[in-house]
Amino acid sequence: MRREQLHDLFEKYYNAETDLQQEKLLRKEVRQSDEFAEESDLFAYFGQEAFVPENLENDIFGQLIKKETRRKTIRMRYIRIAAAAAVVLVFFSAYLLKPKNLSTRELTADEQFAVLEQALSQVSYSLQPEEDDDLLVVFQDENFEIVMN
Amino acid sequence: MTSEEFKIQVLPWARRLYPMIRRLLKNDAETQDAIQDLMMKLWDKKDSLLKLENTDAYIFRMAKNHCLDLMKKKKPLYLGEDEQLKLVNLPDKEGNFDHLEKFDHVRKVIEELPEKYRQVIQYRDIDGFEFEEIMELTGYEVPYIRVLLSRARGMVKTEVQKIYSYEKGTTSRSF
Repeated sequence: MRREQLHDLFEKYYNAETDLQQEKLLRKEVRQSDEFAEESDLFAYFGQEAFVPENLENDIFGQLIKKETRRKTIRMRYIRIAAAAAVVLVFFSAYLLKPKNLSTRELTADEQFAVLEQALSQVSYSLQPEEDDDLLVVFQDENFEIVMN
Repeated sequence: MTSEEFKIQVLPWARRLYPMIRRLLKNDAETQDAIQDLMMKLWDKKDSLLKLENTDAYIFRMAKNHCLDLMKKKKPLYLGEDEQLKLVNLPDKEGNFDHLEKFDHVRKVIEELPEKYRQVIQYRDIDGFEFEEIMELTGYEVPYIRVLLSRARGMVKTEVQKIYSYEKGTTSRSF
């Protein structure tokens, strides 16, 4: 840029008539010139104040995804517990409402054990979170869970 | 709005808003937390963002309100913890000291401007906001913003010139 053009642009800058693109160009020109000492320091200061950490967006996005995954896991757990409770309630209600005069056969000890085992495994299965395609449970205990997707 | 759309349309605001929020909080860690909170609010609304006519204006307004909340919570300080740390850990080189001293002069000049001049020059020359965005933040009309900005830039240049002249011994007036 010629010296006169640069001076014209500075005049516009001090009249607040420049757009952001022109101001960017002005800063670039000043960096390459020895003539504008005050502006050079002013622009360097503005640049320093406008500093933004390099990985800001990635850090923030990573946190957003992590929180979203956590919420999803908690939501899924509530749904499964509610489903398990509903199954137990249905079976319990069916047992209570069973007609008294219905003829039933006494179960042998082995049959009773098999029925009990099947019922427990069904409840256990419904409480156990299913494998999710986009979730990998790395560690889990009563209070803490680490998941990856 | 999908995660990818959010990444393209909303996430760049984190970078745009960082210097302004950093100036309010004077601390990088708190700034990052504040921006994280703001982005989380926007993330929760990402489905409704698509239905808006002007998403940018909405985000900007939300950022403004977020900053107002932060300002209510935060007491103003001149030097933040990070700046103090930088000053304590300065390398023992004359060049760096000169550089920092110059920045400190400029900072003081800007800090001592009347509030509306200071706001406008910071929004434009540090944050790089458009005049319409400054209007959203300050409530001033664009022609008035131009007047304030023009005067603020002139005042800052004059004061910095005075400091340099004083340092060179060409004038006896101190800043």
